[in-house]
Amino acid sequence: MATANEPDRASTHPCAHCGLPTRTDDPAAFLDNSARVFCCHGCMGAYALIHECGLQDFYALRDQSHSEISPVKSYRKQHVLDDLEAAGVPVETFADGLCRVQLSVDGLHCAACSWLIEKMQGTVPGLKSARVRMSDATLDMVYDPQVTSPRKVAERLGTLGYILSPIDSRDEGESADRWLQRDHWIGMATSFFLAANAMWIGISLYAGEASGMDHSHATFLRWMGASLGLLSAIGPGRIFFSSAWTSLRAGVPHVDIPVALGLAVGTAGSLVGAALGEGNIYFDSLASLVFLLRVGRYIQFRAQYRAGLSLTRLLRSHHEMAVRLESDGSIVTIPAHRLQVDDVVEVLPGQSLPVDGIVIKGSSLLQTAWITGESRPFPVSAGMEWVGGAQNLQSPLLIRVTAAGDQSRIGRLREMVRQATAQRTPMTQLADRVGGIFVIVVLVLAIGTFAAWSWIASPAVAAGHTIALLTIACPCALALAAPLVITVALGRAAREQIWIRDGNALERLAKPGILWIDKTGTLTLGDLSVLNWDGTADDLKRAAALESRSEHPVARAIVAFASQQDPTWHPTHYRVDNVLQSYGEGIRGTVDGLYYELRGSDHQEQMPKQDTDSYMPICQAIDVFCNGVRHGTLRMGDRERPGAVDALKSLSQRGWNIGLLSGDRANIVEALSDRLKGAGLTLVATKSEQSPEQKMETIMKSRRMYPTTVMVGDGINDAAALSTADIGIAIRGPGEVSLRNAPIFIPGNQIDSIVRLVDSSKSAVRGIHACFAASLLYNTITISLAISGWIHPLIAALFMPLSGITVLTMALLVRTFPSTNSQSYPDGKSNAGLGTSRQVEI
Amino acid sequence: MSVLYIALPLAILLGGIGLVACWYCIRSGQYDDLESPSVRMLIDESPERNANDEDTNRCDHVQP
Repeated sequence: MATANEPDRASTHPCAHCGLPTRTDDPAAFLDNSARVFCCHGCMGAYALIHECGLQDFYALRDQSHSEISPVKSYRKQHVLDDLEAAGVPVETFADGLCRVQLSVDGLHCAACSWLIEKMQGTVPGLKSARVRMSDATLDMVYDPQVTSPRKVAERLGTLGYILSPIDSRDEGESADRWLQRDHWIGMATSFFLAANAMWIGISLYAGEASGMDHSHATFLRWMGASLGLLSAIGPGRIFFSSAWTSLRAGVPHVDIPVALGLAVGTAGSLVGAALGEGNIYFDSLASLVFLLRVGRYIQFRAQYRAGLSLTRLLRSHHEMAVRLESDGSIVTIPAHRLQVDDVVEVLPGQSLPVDGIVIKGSSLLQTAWITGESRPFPVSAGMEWVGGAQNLQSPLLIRVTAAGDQSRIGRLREMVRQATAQRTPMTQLADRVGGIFVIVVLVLAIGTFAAWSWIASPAVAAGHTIALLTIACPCALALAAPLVITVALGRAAREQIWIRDGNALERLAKPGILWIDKTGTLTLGDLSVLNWDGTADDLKRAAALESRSEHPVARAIVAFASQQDPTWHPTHYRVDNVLQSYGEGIRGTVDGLYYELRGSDHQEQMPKQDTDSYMPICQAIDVFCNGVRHGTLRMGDRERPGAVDALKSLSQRGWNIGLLSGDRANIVEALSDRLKGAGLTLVATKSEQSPEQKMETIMKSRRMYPTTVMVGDGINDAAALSTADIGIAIRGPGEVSLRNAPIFIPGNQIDSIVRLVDSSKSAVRGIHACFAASLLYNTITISLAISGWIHPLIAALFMPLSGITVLTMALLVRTFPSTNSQSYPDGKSNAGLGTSRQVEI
Repeated sequence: MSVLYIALPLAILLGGIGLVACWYCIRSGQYDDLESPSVRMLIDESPERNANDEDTNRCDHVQP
C-alpha cells in the first residue's frame, strides 16, 4: 500500500478526497487497491467512510461548486464533549427525551460539506437531525441521549475532517454582529422604500410643473414627499445623527459629523420647501442619499463582519480545554477560561493555559516565547511559578491556580489591549469627509443658483435649474467608491490568505512610516532547530537514535536534523537500551553497545564567532559524549524565517523605516541586527529585552513621530503593541489575543505578504483617488452646466445613474493583490463584487 | 384629481405593510443564512431522511 520505495513510479496525482497534488513517492501518501491516491491516511479514511455510507455524490457536488476540501488531519479526541454541562454548552431537552445542542463545526468549505454532514445523520444511530448553518459554521443537532452522544457524533464527523467543538458562551460578539447585520438590512430596506416613494413623488412634481398642476395638489405632494424625507432622516438616517452626536459630546472628530450636517440641511431644506409651497424639492435627494449612505455603511460592515467570522472560527478551534482534578479524585474537562483560583489542573505536554499558578507536582520545560519573547525554554519543578500563556513542553504538571481570568498575567495583558483599542480615535475616512463636504457645497450652490435665477428670470425657471443641479449632482458615487474599492481588495486579500478585519488599515498602509518587527516567531521561525554539528555523521545518527526516545523539543529538533542530513536514517536501525532521561541534565543510554550521553554544554557563551552570511544566534548547545569522551557539539537555535530579509529589504526600498522590537535577550537580538545590517538593511532602532508594556510605550512614541506606525508580531506578548500601533499585522497562528487585536492577520508564515499588502494598499488608495477625481470632474462639469441653465431636469434625471456607474466600474477595475495563482478566479473584476463573501470563507 | 388625497396615502400604506413584513422576516432570522438553504433544496431527499422529517422540522422552527 505504501509506496515509499517506488521512485520509478513517482508522479503527481490529486488526492482522491481533498484534491491536493500528491507525489506517489511521498512517504505519507497512500494508494488503495484501485490505485486511487491519497495525500494522507486521514483522507483515505474519509473517502472510505463516504463510500461506505453511499454518499459518493459528495464529490460531484464538491466539483460542481469548485470548492477545495482540506486534507483530513488526524483527529484529536474531544473529551470536552463528554460533559457538555461542564463545558458551558446549553443542552435543550425535549419532553420526549431527545436533546438538542448547537456545536461549532470547523472545516466547512462549501455547500458540499454541509450536504455531507446532513446526509451523515442518517447513518449515525440515534442522531435524529443535523442541520448545518454555513454562515456561522454551526451544527444544530437533535439526538437521543440513550443511543448516542455528541462525542460519538463528533468522532464520526472527525473521521471526515470536520471538527466539532463547543460554542463558547463568550462569543457574544458574534451574535451581536448578527443583530447588527439585521439592523443594517432593515435600515437599507426602509431607506430604499422611502427613497423610492420620495422619488416617485418628486417625478410627479416635475411632471406636474411641466404640465401645469393644480397648486393644492402640488402642495399636497410636497408635504407627502417632505414627510417621507423626514422619516428617512430620522429613521434609517438616525445612525448618522446619533454617532455624530456621540462624537461631538466626546469632543472627537468623527466621520459622521459632516454627513449628519448634510442630512440636517437637506431635511430643513425639504421642510422649508414644503412650507413655502414653492421652490426647491430636496426630499427625494435626501431620501436617496440616506439610502446610498446606508448601502455604503453596509458594504463596509459586511467586509468586516465576514473577516471577523473567519477569525472567530479560527479562534474557536484554538480554545484551550483544561483537565481539572476534583477533590474526590475525579477528572473534569472544562474550557480553560472557566478555571478559578485554587483549582488543581493537570497541564499536559504541549498545552498552554491562560491562568497563573504554582507547580505542585512534576517537573518539565516551559516555553514562554508567547509571553516574553524569550526564545529559550526553561525548566520548572514543584514549587515554582507557572505563568499564564506559557506552554508546557515536556511532561505533565499539576498546578494550583493562583490567578485566573482578569487577574492573571494574560488577563491583565488583555485588559491593557482592550483599553488601547478603546482609546484609539477613529480615523476619518476620506470618502465620508469628501462626501459630507460635497453635500454641503451642492446645497450651498443650489441655494445660490435658486437665488440668482430668481433674480435674473423667475422663481419657476430658478426651480427648474436648481432641480437639475440637485438631481445631476451625485455624491453617492463618491460615498460608495472607497468602500467598494476596499471591499474588493479585502476579498482578494482573503484569497491570498491575508485577512484584513478593518478596511481602514488597508487605506493607511499606503503612507510609509515606521515598521516595528518582532523577532521570535516573526523574523525567525520560533522553534528550536539544529544549526550545526561539529562531529562525525555516525555519532550524530547514534545520538539522534537515542534522542528519538524523548519528546523534548531539543530531542525532536535533533531527530529532525538527523533525518534531514540522511533521509535513510531511521531510529529503528539502532539498538537503544538503558535510556535514562532526567530533566535539565540531558539523556543517556547505550546505542549499538556504545554509551552515549547528551547534555547541555557549559561553555555556550564562548561560541566561535559565527559567519555573517548565515545568521545563527545559538541559544543552546548540546555536547555529545561517547563512552565519556566529548565527540562533538550540537548547536541549536531559532532559524531565520526564509524570505524575511528580502521582505524587509523590499519594504525599506518602498520608504519604510524598519525597527527591531524584541523581548529576547540582547545578544541574540544584536546578532540578528548585525546580520540584517550585513545584508544591506538599515535599521532605525534595535530594542531588546522589551516587556509588553515597554513595547507599547515604544509604539506610542513612534506614533507621534511617524505618519504610520506598523507593528508586525505574533503571540500574546505582542498583542498590546499590535493594538497600539496604527496597523497591527499578526503573523502566524496561535496567539489568540493577537488575532483579536491586529486588524491584519497573515497566517501560514508568509512574511513576504506584507510587501504585497503594502503595494496593494497603494494601488487601492490610488484607485480611490482616481474614482474621486473622476466623480469630482463629472460633477463639476454637470453642476456648472446645471447652474448656467443648460440642463433640463428630466435630462438630469437620465444622467444621474451615469456618474454612479462610471465610478463603480472604476472601483472594480482597481488592481489590488494581483493574482499569482489565478487558476480559480482568472478574471478578478467580474467576480469581485459577488465573490468576496465566498473568498473570505476559504 | 382629488382622488390623489386618498390614493397616495393608501399606496404608501400598502407599501408600508410590505416593509413591515420585510422587517419581520429579517428580525426572525430568515436571511441569516442564505447559503445552505439554496443548495439544500436542490439535493434529493433520501428515504431514511424522510423518516426523520418531523425532527428536522422541529429544528427549523426553534430559533436561537
